[in-house]
Amino acid sequence: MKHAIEITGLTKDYGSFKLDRVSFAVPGGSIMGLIGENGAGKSTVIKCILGLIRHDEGRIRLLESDVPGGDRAVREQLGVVLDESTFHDALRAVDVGTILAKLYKSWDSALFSRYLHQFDLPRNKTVKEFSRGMKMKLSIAAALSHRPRLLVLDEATSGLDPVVRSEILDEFLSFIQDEEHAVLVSSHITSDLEKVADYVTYLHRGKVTLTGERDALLQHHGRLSCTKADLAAVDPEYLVSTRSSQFSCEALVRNKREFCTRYSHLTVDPVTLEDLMVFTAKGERP
Amino acid sequence: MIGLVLKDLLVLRKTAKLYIAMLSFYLVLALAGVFSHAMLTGFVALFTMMLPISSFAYDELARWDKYAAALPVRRRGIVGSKYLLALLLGAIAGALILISSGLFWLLKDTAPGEVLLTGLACVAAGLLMNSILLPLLFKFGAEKGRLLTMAVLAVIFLLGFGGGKLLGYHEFPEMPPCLKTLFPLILAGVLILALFVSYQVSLGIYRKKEL
Repeated sequence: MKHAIEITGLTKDYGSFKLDRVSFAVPGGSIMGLIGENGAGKSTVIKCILGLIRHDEGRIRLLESDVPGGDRAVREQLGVVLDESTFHDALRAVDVGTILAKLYKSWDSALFSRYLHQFDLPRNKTVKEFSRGMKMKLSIAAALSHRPRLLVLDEATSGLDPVVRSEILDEFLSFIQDEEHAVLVSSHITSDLEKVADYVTYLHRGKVTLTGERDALLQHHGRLSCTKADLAAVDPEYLVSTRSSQFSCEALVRNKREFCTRYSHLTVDPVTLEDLMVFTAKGERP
Repeated sequence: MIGLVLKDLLVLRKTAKLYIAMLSFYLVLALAGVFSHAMLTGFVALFTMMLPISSFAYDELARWDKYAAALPVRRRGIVGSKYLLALLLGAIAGALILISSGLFWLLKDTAPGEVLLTGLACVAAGLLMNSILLPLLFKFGAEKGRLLTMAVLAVIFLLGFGGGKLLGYHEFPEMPPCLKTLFPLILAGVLILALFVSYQVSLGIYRKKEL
């Protein structure tokens, strides 16, 4: 499998919001993090991938299938976790297993039981009695127990405490050990994706601003801290965006290595995904 | 699809238990002669009609629809499962009518045919209502669907009773004997046709729905 998901020119116009010619690919054996502010279009992209909404233009190829949301065979290989628990309050964890065993041909009840045990989820308590973290772990156990090839998760770690988040991220990392597996996870918690994502796509106001290998993106950019006079002397070609205060200036620079050679007297710090987001969303274009 | 019906049954088990407890209570009262068996059969029709509607409300509350639409059953399975649930509840209601008609026959010496026929006609009416309501629920969701249920019931009541009054009937007119014999068959035919058309309409609606 070359790419688990290939998206080309995806467009969806709601009038007040437009997903505009979004293109990216999730290679097999990797984790793609879809980052962006609230309302940037992450959930819309995921809904289009899952066939929950119809897109106006573009092409989505899901596990080598062009059927919107995938045909039955594709869906058997797809694990889905949405931003909130989708299981009814009246159901117990064990009921969720019984229901899904009838809906997935490849459902592995023993594996589901193992996940319930691993995540410390009580089998006979109702979902109503679960905490947010427990609900999310139940959703992840449900998404993994039919042994999918592709996991699609929308804001799966939002609103969870660091311990649960780390537990869930570890699960993604062990899932991806198989080269045939892939994960697409959207989040606005960039530190999570910095830990696990091999690739990152940054959506800003419905458009892809950055996409590529996480390490390459982080190494390509740098955070420049300098005076106004220093900044004025910098070739604007290097500047992605700038932020100025009364006393100092900061800028997100591209081609970091070349920039450091040319402006060796200036200090350039490594960037985080959060820097990339904040500078793009809030910074001024040179 | 069976998994989705199983889900509905598991989600509805508490509500169903409540309905069955109330049904048993009414059965005892009807057997004690507090009111006629018609009340009981009316309750069974309500049971057939209301539980599929409740299942939509529970799905909406859990945000289940989006998740279900990404499952291998796809949208056709989701629509089919609600009709299967309605038929299954209709069958359960029919079985309850059969049991109660047996009890009336044994304990009250009421002709079993009478209880059975009115009871099954009520179940059929419940299923007919479902064939009108399910497409509305797929289109508008449980919240608006509930209001529309009230509206549909009000329209049926007005057409039935208001129309009867206008035509000068004070009670239901007696059916001609030939029609009386054919009535169950006609009702079954209308019911099958209504459910089939309703299923096709729901499928058309739900396939286009953005979740």
